[in-house]
Amino acid sequence: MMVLLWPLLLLASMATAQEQLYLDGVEPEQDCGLTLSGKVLDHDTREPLIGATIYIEELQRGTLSDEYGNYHFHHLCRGSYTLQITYIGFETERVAVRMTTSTVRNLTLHVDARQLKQVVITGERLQEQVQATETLAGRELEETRGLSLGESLKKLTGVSSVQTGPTVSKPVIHGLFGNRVVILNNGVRHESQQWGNEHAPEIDPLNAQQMQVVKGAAGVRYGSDAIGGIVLVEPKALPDSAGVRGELSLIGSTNNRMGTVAGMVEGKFSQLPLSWRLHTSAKKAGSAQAPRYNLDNTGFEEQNLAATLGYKQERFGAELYYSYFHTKLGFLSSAHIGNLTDLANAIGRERPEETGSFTYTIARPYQDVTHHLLKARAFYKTGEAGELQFTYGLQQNVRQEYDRHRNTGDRPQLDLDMQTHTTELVWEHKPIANISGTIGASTIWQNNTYAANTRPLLPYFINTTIGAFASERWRKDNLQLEAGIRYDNKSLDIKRWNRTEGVLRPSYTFHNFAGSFGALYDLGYHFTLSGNISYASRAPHSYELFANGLHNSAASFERGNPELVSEDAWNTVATLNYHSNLRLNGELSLYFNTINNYIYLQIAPDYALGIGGAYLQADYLQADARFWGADLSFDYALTNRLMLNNKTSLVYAKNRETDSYLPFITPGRTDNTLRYSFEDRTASRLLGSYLALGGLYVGRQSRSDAQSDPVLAAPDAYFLLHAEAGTQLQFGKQRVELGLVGSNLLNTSYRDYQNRLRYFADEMGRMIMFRIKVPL
Amino acid sequence: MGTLLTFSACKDDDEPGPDDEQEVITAVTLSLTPTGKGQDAQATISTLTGSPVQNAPLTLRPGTEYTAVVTFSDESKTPEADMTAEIRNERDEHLLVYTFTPEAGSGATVNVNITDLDQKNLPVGLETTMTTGAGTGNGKLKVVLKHQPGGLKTGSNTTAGETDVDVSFNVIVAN
Repeated sequence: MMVLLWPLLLLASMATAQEQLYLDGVEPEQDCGLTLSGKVLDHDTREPLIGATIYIEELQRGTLSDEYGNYHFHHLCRGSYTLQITYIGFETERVAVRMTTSTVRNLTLHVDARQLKQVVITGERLQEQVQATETLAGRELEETRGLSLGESLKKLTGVSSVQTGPTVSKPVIHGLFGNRVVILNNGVRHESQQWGNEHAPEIDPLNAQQMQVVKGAAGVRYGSDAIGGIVLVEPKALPDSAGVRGELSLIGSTNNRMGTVAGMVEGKFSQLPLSWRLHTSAKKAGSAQAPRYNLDNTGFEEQNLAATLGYKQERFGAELYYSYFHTKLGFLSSAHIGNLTDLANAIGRERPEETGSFTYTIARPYQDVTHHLLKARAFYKTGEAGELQFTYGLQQNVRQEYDRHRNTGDRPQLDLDMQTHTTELVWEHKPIANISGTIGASTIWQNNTYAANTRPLLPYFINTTIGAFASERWRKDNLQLEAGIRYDNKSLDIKRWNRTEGVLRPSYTFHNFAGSFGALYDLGYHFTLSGNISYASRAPHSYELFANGLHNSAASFERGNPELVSEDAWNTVATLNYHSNLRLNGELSLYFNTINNYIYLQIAPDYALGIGGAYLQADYLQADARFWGADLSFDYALTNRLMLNNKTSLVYAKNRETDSYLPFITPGRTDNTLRYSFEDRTASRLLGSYLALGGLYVGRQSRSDAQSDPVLAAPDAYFLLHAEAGTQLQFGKQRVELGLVGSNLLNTSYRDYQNRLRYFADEMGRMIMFRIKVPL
Repeated sequence: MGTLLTFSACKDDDEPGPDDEQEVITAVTLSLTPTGKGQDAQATISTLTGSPVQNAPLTLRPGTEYTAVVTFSDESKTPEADMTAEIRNERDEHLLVYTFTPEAGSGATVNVNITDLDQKNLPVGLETTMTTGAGTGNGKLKVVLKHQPGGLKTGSNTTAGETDVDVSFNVIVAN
């Protein structure tokens, strides 16, 4: 009965609100210590609405409802106010409140009938995470358009990258990377040759609407090997209103003179519950420029295609998705070297031996990589109880690497072919006695081969993984508890050729567990505290077990270790979030990660001898390690228009067995940006214009010595200046989005500790990237 | 999309073959013929089984001039593949560098003069004359093959480019 009365009450109060406003106004001399609080609820379901905007028109003050739908305003004076409540997918409400004492007022919103389906999607996305999570979306994501996935994610606090020259960038979360970071591309576990530090993820970031990073061991949901974290790359949801739309983007840059074209068309049939999208992009860049010289042969090109077809009814839906990724990328020619003497010569040189001049031509050494993904997904709503989802993914990854040797013809030296089938069956259930969660099972079947007469750097292998998990969440009042458990059974059947014994077939079985327990507590006063303890365990990769070959760009001979066992991590994270405030908002996250049997590649003190002389030898070793650190990010509104943003992250790591440093750990960094947002004038053609100027400081990795880095000491600290600007132009009904991003504005010569080519050349110099997006 | 649909159903039958990476040099042979009378000398360093192994010391006589050729081969192929012709074809991108270092107390000396030239009249080093001094004793003759593509070759710069081969022959100069 109450439910039915609500709309009437609301209407009544709104009617009176208008009058009272003019009569009373705000009386400034009154008691100003009042608090207005309450919940924002969906009128029909009575569920709390998370992230709804509540705005006091008279005071021009706004806040967001928190993860329980709660909102509050403090220090209000007595008087009458008009609240405007907005939430995507719901009709905007205006409510009058007369304040004489501190008041609790619940606000209810009605579903906007025109956007009903979109609401479902938005609602699902707004899950509160117990674990430290960062999201790249909106303006920040737009500013990364034109960059690779790895470079884009560096915008997030606690995320850095391992690089190989200017073109290859892999995400690093809290100092961990490679197979420890699981990447979900549109809901499918991305499976490629991610063991290689010079193998960037084969994903087109231009097709993503949002990229989310879960920091710390997060093995429960997507695989127990996610010791470092998870990257979720999510395309836009399919359209749910009939018609055809499109979007065209052009991106260009100075320095490597990169040009990118991206186009998207999507639509929905008006008669059928079918919607579709086509997205394509092409990128081409020439050789990058360090401040003092050309980085010879660092051009690249990339072509992408993604097609989605979706069928959606009330209880049942299905989606078919196919994406194609192809890249050809050049490697710094002078980083391809022979033996240790060559390496010493290269390090001793002021600049690389071959600098050449700018060109779009890509010569040897280069990589040519193709990745196909076919995904089929279906869901079925199991009545009121929840939703059953099934996802099948088929991936093929072909990686060809062309070395620079005599008379190689047009054949690659490395030619790996990996096919992966993944399936996942998940049941998401709705709250039963305050408990909601997900239960599921998944499989991976993977076959890796290489072409005849190419380098057997990685053996043939078949990986079969079967896993099951359950993750449940209990929520009541200000407290949310979350717990999850997972088991993966992984069998690895290897086939490798040995000169004396023929084909050897070693076989492994790994049992990997993952578990997590977390809590999120709303302390009130805009503080939320969350903590999470998780366990994850990762089976060694075939490469770590059986690598055997020369890695020219590191002048090292890499050797696996067949005796390796699973590494397992205990990860503790505590996060304090201060939110919905007028001036200061931010988050501080502390973590402590104990990894037993941590697998790492260590350059050995002695070297390997071959026909080409002495090579560095790098062996896969295992040791008990500890990672710890902190992430801090905050915004401080200096004025209504000027905002200071800080992102700082610190990572420390130690080999607990020998009490020594581990190689290749991210140095501390802090990025500070001042952003000025211009006021939107009604007559102006410009909307949402902003200007930003910032500086990134990356410290020297002082936790490095002759043991961890025997070849060359860690490079110096560096400071880079960057700037961003953006606006939306309105030509009648046509909107055009413009953006400008400048990096390394002072054209600083520097080298980065986590760039594998730091022995050979400086990083890229100044680059200005400009983009234009036209919705059609 | 084409490749995606043609997955072979029975991949498990595949087996890796011999790791036949094309074009590896596994052995270096020095062959010396005296310009006057005397015994020929020959030695091979092979890395087929891992670290470099020399089959026999290179035994030379003091005060003798030899015509020397160096050859490269890939012993992992059957029959053994000669790699020298490839280097000769690309001689404008290659340079051999010879360095003789006597052992402590040894009086042996070996002078190496490159006699072959590339298209630009720069030395190559596949053919040389090697002249021993009057002294006797042991030493090491280091043979380095430099790959110097893209205009790196000047004929005198011995550090430029990538090292393809770097081996040291044990040499005995004795009567």
